Amino acid sequence: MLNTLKAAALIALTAASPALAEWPDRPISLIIGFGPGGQSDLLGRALASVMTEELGVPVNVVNRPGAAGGAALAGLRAMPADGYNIMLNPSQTITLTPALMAQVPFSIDDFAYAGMITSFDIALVAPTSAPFDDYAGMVAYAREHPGILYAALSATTRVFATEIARANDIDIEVLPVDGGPGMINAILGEQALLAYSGGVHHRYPEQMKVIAALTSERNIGSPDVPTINELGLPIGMDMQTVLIAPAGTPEDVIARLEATLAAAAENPGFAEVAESMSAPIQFRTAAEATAEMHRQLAANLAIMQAAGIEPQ
Amino acid sequence: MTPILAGFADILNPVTLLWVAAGVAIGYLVGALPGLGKATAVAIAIPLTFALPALPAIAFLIGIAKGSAAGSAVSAILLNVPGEPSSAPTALDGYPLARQGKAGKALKAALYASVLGDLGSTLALVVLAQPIASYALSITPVEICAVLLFSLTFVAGLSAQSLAKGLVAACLGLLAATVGLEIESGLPRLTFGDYRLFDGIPLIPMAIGMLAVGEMILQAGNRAALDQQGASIAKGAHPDDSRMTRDDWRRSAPAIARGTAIGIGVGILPGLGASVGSFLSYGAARARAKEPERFGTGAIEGVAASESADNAVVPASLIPLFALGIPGSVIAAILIGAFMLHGVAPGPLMFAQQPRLVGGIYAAMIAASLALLLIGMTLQGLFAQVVRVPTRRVVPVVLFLCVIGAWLEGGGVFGVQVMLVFAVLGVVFIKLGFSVVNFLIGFVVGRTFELTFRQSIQILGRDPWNLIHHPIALIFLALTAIAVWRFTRGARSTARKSEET
Repeated sequence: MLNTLKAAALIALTAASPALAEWPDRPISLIIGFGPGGQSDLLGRALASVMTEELGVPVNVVNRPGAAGGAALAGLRAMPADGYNIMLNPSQTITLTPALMAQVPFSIDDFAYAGMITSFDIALVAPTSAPFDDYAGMVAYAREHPGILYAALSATTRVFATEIARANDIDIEVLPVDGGPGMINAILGEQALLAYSGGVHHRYPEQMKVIAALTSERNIGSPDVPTINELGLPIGMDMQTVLIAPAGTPEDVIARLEATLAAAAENPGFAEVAESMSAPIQFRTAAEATAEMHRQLAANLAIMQAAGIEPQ
Repeated sequence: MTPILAGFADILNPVTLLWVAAGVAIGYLVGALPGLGKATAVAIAIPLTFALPALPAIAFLIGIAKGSAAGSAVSAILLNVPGEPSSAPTALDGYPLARQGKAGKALKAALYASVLGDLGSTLALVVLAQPIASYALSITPVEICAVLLFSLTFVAGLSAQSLAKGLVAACLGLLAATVGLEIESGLPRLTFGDYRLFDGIPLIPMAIGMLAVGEMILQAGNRAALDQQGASIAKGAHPDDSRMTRDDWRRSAPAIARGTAIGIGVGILPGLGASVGSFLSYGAARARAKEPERFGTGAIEGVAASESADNAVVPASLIPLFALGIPGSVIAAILIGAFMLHGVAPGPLMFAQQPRLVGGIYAAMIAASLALLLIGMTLQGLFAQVVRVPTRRVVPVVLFLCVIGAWLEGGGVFGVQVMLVFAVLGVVFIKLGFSVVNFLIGFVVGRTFELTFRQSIQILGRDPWNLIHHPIALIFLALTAIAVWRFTRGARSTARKSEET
């Protein structure tokens, strides 16, 4: 409700200021740091169609896959800060990569943030047939059955297993999987009893259950399940899709982008796409997004440092 | 069953049929253009279907996938530039056929093989999707790893001149597959600090570079021969050169049957993809052939084997998607997004909740197979005109298309750079007698092999005795051992023979 009000206020504000007539006067490129067809791409395309309507110029989706958006961010950083090159990407590429890699070809200060639009219901999930239903049950089961498998998509997602195992003095083995489809396969095929999910589990309500939210706030799609922080292990890491422009982009342009994002958050067409991608809509203004990015980076660095993970 | 039958009737709606035909036609054209793959084509088309009802939308997208799987043979045969990597084996025999003035024959063989592989696999989907569900779940990474290990033995079968050189090429391919972020720890390997290599070497720019650009560099040195060849390609002296004769069918039929079976198998197993299917099918056809030396010089059954498997993978990869909700391929993963957008949750519940739609999709897929035959025949006549243009005029255009393909699929300039590096490597390989195909097989199989191997270690609890619980894997490991024994013995006897002569 509050978001709705904010969005309405923003639209009213921007509509009232005629000084913004110059931008945009030519097509805008919306860069997506992933290949076509995935969640980021489809959300980006839905956003682009709303933006085209709102801004009155074509907004073209440009796919620049590589390193979970990192390749595209490194490119965006060097582009002119005129608002014609913008990017929609999950926040963790900026707020988590520095905790893992010593040499990152971009930093949080290279960009301006125009707002956030969806969040990820990151969670620890298990197949429905698993012999436990909650976090305590899982820990008890793992104590009796050392070496249960946890499907991890990457080094970052691995951290959750090692930290949960360390905090409870249990043995969890990691099963490396290739992306979301690999995780679905491992859980549906019951090869793994636990898995990291970036939200895709909402598509499989019959086959998967949520053991704990791995975010700092409870998941929007499963508000009854406690977060890992509530369970006594402060390692929840948040992720949102954030609209990014090169640092130095004029403030009035950022304001227009922010207003467009707010409009998209209320757009039924965008809502339909987001719903089908299991991506809950949660609009944040440019100021909120910028603050959230910095908070996330600091929190993630602290978590990784506490876990003894050095950037390589 | 009745609702499924009712779904079959839904397809008779002319608007839906139109969308099927449009999908196949667009797919065929995109496939025929070098460098543009089916996954990209389907993904880009998804937003076009936002406004459509579920059935025509899904039929349209599946039509694109099927059409481009078949269309990619066109540029492989006429230009020696595979429209996508899975058609690379098609070029091995298709292009020599075209150079002998038999382009029409090769194109027809490719199209018929595509349609038959596609239809066979679609029928397998219709019949098997439900019963196979329980079996598919018992296939774990352990089984897939064993199958991949077995498939690597085909490399030996493809190394005609020298087994050693063939193995070296395959191992270099495996090495190239290790470039990128290491799967378990996320540490970069062999990236030389370049973040653009974090996701590994992009396959399409690599394949275009090694197969197409490399070949053109080699040809560029010989203009007179090129012009002469161009003239003979254009002529196509005998009418038999542009159609499938009874003898061609006799050679191709077993290859198509085997290719379809291999394609279905590869499609069902998660994570392998069409390239593995077509390379395996080509390797199997060659290993089975009475005169394996004909392969690579214009064996019609090589074209048939590659294309039938290439197309069979597409419908078969939907079997795990429909039966279990598991995406078996990149296409299936992209289609999940499209299905969800249209309010359909792929998986076993789909049969219970929306049987009519399932029937409609089945019927649309069969209709797409038939549309593929008609549209392919029509467009082929058009494409075949390319051979009338002198080769020296075609080459610059093809190079341009190669650059565009590498740019699009490899993330900009980086893709073009990758293409150029591998073009040089391709030339070196050919000049020194190393097999480019073996290299590509090693590369295509390498990443999945490493992943499933490491998964197997975890699933087996680091105890090889646990393999007893995986009889299918044991069978394939035994087959691998037999194949290795046969090939090494064969290599020794050929070596002895050459010593004697």
